[in-house]
Amino acid sequence: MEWLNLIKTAVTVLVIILATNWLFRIFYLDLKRDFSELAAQEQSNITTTRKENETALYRNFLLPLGFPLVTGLGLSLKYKIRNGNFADIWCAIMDLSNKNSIRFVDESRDLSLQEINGMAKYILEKYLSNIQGNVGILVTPSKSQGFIISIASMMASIKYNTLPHFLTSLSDKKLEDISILIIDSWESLTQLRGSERWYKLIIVCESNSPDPTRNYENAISWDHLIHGYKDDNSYTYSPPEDNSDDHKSLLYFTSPHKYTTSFSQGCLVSGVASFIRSFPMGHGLTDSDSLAAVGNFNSLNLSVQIWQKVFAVLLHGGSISFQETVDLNSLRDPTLLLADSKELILAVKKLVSSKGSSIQRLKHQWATALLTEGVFTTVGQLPVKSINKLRCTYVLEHVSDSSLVTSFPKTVPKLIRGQNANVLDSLQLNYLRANLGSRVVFEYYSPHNVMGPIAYTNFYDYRVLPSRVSANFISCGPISTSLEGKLVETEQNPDLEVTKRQGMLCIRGFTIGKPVEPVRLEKARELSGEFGGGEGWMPMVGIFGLWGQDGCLYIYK
Amino acid sequence: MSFLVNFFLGGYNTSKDPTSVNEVSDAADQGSKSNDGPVVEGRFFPRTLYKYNGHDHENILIAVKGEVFDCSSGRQFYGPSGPYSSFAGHDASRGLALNSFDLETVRGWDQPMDPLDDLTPQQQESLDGWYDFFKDKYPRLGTLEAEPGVNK
Repeated sequence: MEWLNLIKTAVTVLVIILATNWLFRIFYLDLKRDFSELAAQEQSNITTTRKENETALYRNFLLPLGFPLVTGLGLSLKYKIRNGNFADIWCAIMDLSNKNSIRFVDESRDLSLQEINGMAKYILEKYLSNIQGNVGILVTPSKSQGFIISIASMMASIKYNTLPHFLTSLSDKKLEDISILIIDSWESLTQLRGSERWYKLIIVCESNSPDPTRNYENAISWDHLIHGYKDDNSYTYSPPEDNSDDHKSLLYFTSPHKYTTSFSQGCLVSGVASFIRSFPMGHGLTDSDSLAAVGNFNSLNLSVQIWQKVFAVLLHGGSISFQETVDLNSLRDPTLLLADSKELILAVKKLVSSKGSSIQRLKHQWATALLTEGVFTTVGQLPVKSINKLRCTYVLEHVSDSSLVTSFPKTVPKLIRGQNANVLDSLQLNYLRANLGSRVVFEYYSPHNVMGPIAYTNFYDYRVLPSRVSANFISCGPISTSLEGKLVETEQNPDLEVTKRQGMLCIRGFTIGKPVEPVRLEKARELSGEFGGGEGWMPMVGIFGLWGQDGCLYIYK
Repeated sequence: MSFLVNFFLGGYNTSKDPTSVNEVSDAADQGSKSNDGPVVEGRFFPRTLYKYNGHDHENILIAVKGEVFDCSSGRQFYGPSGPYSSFAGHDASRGLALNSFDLETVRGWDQPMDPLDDLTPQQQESLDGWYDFFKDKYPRLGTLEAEPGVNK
């Protein structure tokens, strides 16, 4: 009799557990899930045809086939629609300038946009209006001087055709286009070792005076540069009737491998529009957003990549804060966070070890279980005040061999596995989601020739992929809305079959830069003709991947 | 059960493997892909074109003057029960030249290809007009050629 009771009790408990699980799944998980399984499986629109040695074309699912890619801001010019340019963006930002401000790494207070605009306009008219050539910038935009001089030069890109030229290191060869050089200290000036004569003006972003023992005729300090500026909250811009400003260049970028790439105004506006559109309904940018861009962008060669997000947030009246190191405790209550993937995971692990407790571990376990069911939760968020408001974190990852991609070699290399072994996988992304209490978007960059991400994961995609996928692939998400992509067959990699959706990545769209050097431009043209049939495709040499059945791009590790 | 186990005992749910390559057909024949894979642009034969009629395959391909166009976006005209459905998956040149939608104007996939050498100048002009229309409106996918042993 006792045995019978025991069995009855066990069966009752089992039935209750199964019923609870079923009820929880039906009435909680299915109703709270952000992303249905169907949506997760259909993240791209795929053409129904393909060329013989290529896969079909893949586009972000936000862009139906037959519709154009995201080209810009969609502004009106009489009865026409125009894409816009930097001046349109800055003009709109200054209309909201009483709302927002920027905190730089070298300032102990926020700088208002009136101050930034006042300084930039002063530099524009006093120094850039009558100069032939570009402005070489070696100072990170996370410093006030680097940001302001970049804005002034971008203003000049429209008004005087003088461009900001972002550099990653002091060049030992003269870059012919640069007339003004911006460096961070007088010490750096001494390292120029005579090359200071190449420039008409050198601006040293340090307040104190130069070494009195040396005479630098063409060097001035930052304080001297902006002496006499006034706060200014207006920036007016009227586009010309022929809309020629939209087609101008915006900036040059020279990579550590000494390849210079030109990015157009279209790259900026298309990327800004694409970023704004990436937010799902109900989560769009607002004036209460604050973007924290953390990390040393110059050392990461990402100084060109922050502008689209910075401008998009400022356009909505939000504010920006820069931070040189990824220290989550010292964030200033951001709602959006932009950081390098490897630096961020280290910072979060450090924070977890310092704040770790058994309750926190339990909360993290609950959050992970819910996230992998597609339900977002902040239950596992670390008890750190500075991340309380965080709602989305952008994790930056870039191609393993950028020099190969930007050199446009005639011979495509063979795929070598294991080059990207340390890239974050989907489980680590959920680790970040659970601990930060924030959505995490993984962005895959080719930082030297594409402005903005090539591909990024969906805001709502919290899937944990099987370990064999994480071991073999970087899960990049669908292609950005400014681009479309295809994979092509290469002679050197016959084991990658286009019929199995494998091959070398080619992209086409509006955020791709153009090589400045004539030789490299010709090589790019030849390569594009070989792999894209001359239809504007940019082969990403050395980036081999696979289109997932979910429409996402998976790059071989 | 798995969710409660994960929730209380730790663990997580893994999604399906999206990188599996097994579900796509590996057929090597031009234009003879399964309905799952994209249509390969290039050379088509009347036999391989036939299935792209909007019924046997969701794509609708039509050949005009030896060139194959993807008319899938014009499904309301060329798709099943559309007014020009007889053209789908066929060489529609004669029908367009004669402005006729009769089934007699299109040939079966196992018949010799229509040489169109008996068209009058007016009919040729009409065909050229339609060809320009298709070229401007629909993506060109390749050429239609006679299959050795079947159409010649």
